[in-house]
Amino acid sequence: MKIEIENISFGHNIDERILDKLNYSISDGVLGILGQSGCGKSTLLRIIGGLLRPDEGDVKINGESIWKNTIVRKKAISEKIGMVFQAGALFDFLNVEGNLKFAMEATGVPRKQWDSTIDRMLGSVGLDDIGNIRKRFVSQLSGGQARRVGLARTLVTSPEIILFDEPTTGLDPQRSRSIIKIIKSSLSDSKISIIVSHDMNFISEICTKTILIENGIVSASTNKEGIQKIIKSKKTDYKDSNLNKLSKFIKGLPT
Amino acid sequence: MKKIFLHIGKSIQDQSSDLGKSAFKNIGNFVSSIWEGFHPPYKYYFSEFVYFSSSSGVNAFGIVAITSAVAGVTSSYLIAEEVRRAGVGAEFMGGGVTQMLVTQLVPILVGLVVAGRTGSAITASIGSMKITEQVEALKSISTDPIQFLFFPRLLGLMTVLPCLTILGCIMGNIAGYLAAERVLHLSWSTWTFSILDLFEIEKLYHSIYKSIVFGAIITIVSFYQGWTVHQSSEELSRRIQVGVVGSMTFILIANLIMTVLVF
Repeated sequence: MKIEIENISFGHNIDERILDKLNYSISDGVLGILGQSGCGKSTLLRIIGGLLRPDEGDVKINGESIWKNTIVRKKAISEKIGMVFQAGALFDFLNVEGNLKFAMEATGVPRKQWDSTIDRMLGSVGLDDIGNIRKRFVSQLSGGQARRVGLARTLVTSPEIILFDEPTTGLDPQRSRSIIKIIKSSLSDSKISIIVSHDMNFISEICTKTILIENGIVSASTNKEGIQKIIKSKKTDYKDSNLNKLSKFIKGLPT
Repeated sequence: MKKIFLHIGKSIQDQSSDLGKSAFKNIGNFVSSIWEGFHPPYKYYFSEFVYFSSSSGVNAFGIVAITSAVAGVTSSYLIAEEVRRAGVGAEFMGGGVTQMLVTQLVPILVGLVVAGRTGSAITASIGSMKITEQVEALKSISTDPIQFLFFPRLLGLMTVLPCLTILGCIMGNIAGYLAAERVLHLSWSTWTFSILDLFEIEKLYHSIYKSIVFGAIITIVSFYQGWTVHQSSEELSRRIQVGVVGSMTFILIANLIMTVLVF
């Protein structure tokens, strides 16, 4: 499986582009996206997921265009992609069970598998020990629980590509660890995962490739070894310009 | 001094062009989303339609009954006073009041009441779903948000508004009769025969057509306002206001056009 991002441009205001002809491609594996707040990481994730139309450019999944294709094909391609949102984005008109059932119904999971899948999924996200969790509404869940339910709602649909938008931001270290553990175990089911995060331990542990977005383009990229090298070392200057930029970004220095 | 005016003029120009550009972008995004909703795979959310229609219908029932009754009493009372002073025309009261209620007062009142009540609820619910990323979450699990959120509401209001209009006509008529009976001691049979003699049933059909159009206007305007909310709850409260005022204005304009040009 392959995702090709071709000349993507996007701006919330017409005259101000946050993504400016961004190009990148990824084959099977886990891609980490780094960048300062507001640089367009989450926007890029939404464009890849078919949720936000770019001003220019296209995204291709296995060579098939999302944004320059017919609407019917676009919908069909988007079905392969699942997204885990920063705050869970649970449907507040449904309880936990309703959220999972809604996702399974929408993606055509056979009805007789629903109950067993819900049990299995709530178990795998560590929510099975909470009393009456199935009947709880969003307002009755903590932030961490809502994120785990959001994660479970994406995983029940078994997408081939999973996009994670800052899944650990704002969580305490313990909850953050548990989310990372769940994500790690879910990665084997998908062919490509893309993760936007500021959590460097998370990125270095999971991602096979990492890119840095600056000024609307991919300004640096490296593999798992590169990121681990940067994190372990105190060094900030590298001959390799990719490592140099990533190192400065990660260590909070001006790039 | 010249510099200050130039500066003010330039900022007004910049701001208005930005507003214009974003408005066009919002409208473009909304229209393309609706267009996408018309494409397969088609999923029918009948339960959403039933839930929305019944809840909006039941919730608006009381206020529609009260406003229509008040309109019926007021118009009947005013006409009855004139009839009493002139001493003639009591036999035309029923038909006249009914004509006025059915052709203009009730459909407009029902439209305005529902625009305020249900229209604001539509903007609020869609806007908060946008802010909390629920709309994107729908898309991410292969659910077209237009098919799930817009079409059931559109069909729901286009069904409920005619029902409420008929209910309003009945309530207004009964209340109108009670006012006429009090001022002129008019009998129920005189009132009823006057309606049968003077009232044209086509007027009721016209009123129903109008209310279907009003239902569509309320849904489209209110949904658009909620759909184009970006990230702030402050923006949402402003959008609710704009949605209600916009729906009311478009209802009055549509009524004028339909009254003058169509019916």
